[in-house]
Amino acid sequence: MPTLDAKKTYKNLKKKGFEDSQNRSDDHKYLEFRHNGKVVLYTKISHGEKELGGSLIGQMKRQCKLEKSDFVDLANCPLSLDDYVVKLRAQGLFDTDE
Amino acid sequence: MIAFETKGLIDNDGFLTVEQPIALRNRKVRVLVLLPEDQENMEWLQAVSSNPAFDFLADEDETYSNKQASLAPEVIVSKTHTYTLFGPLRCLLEKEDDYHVMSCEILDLVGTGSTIEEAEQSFAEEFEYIYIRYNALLDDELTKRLQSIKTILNALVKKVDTHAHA
Repeated sequence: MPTLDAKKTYKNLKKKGFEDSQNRSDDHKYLEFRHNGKVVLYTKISHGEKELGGSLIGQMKRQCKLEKSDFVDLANCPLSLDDYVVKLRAQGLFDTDE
Repeated sequence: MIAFETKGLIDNDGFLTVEQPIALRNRKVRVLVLLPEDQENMEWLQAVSSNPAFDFLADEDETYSNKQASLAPEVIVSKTHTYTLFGPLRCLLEKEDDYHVMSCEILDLVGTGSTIEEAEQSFAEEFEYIYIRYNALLDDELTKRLQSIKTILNALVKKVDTHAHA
């Protein structure tokens, strides 16, 4: 299972519209993805580790509603915000009136 | 979102009929069906975590992609709180690649870990996160999907106890 650089992943998720949640745990930060001001989903990322291991990547990809390859693209940048929104909309994760 | 509780019957064709009229007219509503756990099923669920038949979940040397088990915790224990539930929470335990996954579809929750215990602990942290976070947010700040999850979550939690050392 490939690993991901924790800082780079955090930075890239922020670029894709994820925002820091007000709640956090001792060793993880939580990030929320909002659309039209509404929280659609959240994920969490380690802030003590240099690399994200397979277990956390597995959790994050599920929370972000992506297959592993798409999540790696989201974390490394090739998957744009627009493309990500399309994928989330296709799964019916946004309110129907939006 | 407003919730009404009533009782009903699902007939042989799968149609739901409520026992008493609801004081609403000409409204579309969403329906959450809660089934009482029968004793046989409860015993099976309780046996899952200790049954040798599910030892594969703890064995690191096999491929587990298609192997799953059900869990139904009635208490969720995080590092700082114990959440006592009104009933068992249906969860799925499976192994993916080299880690374990505990998930609950109705709450859209997932915890992972290199051992089952770590996955359960991770799940408990996620449970606590959404319980605190969703209740800190106004419904207007959540999609309808997350509003529903918040409603279910609050209906599910009977009691929250803070650990003495927390």
